[in-house]
Amino acid sequence: MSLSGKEKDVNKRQEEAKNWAAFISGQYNLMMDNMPMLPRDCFYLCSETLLDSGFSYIDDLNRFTKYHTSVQDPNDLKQAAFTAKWITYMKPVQVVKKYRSKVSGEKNVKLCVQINELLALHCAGIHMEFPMKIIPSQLKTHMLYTLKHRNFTEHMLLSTFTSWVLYAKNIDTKMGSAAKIV
Amino acid sequence: MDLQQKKDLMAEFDAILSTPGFAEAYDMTEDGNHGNRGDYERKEKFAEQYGAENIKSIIESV
Repeated sequence: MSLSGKEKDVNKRQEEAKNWAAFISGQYNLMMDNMPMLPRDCFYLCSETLLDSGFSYIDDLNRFTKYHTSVQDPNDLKQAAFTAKWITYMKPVQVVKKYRSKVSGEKNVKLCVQINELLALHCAGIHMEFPMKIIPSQLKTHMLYTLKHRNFTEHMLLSTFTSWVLYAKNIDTKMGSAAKIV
Repeated sequence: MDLQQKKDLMAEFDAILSTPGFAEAYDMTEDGNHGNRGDYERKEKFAEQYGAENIKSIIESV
């Protein structure tokens, strides 16, 4: 029995949300593997919230892409901006109760408090295939603060990420993948 | 607007759209890099190569 157009759309949406969620989950594991100063059992990635974020990401990106472009596929910068937006909004990484007893040092507590924003920025960087070391530390601090405490839109994130890539291209035209974007 | 005016306007729009370069000038895709709905495999390869360095760089800014 063949699927109707509506069923195909539903399946496509589900596949895209699942693929996105799987990608984020992989990046979460990579991030935690590279943060040995934080005990792994202080956190867990909530699959339900992650998948929920995936649906919001796909729907939002489709809406935006339909309005702004004549093609169906959004570029990497848009994917980066919307990924950062929905991870920050939905916060799929949960911190366990009384985590402070397992974490020492002010900086490590700060990392715990900003864990979703760290994941958001990391995933955005991977979406753009962007080497983060190129960006001055203060700009990354500012971005993390914005994600955590300010109201922002996908337009603002898209504009900022585009600026980063353009900036990077200016300082190193042989940068490879990030240079490819612009 | 009567029917004839509407037809004239549509013809004018068609003429504008057929101007060489016009549609491209208003193409908002910026760079022609549309990706292909994620291309996660390519990005995961990048993450394998640069992910750890990126995470270190982000952590240092906290």
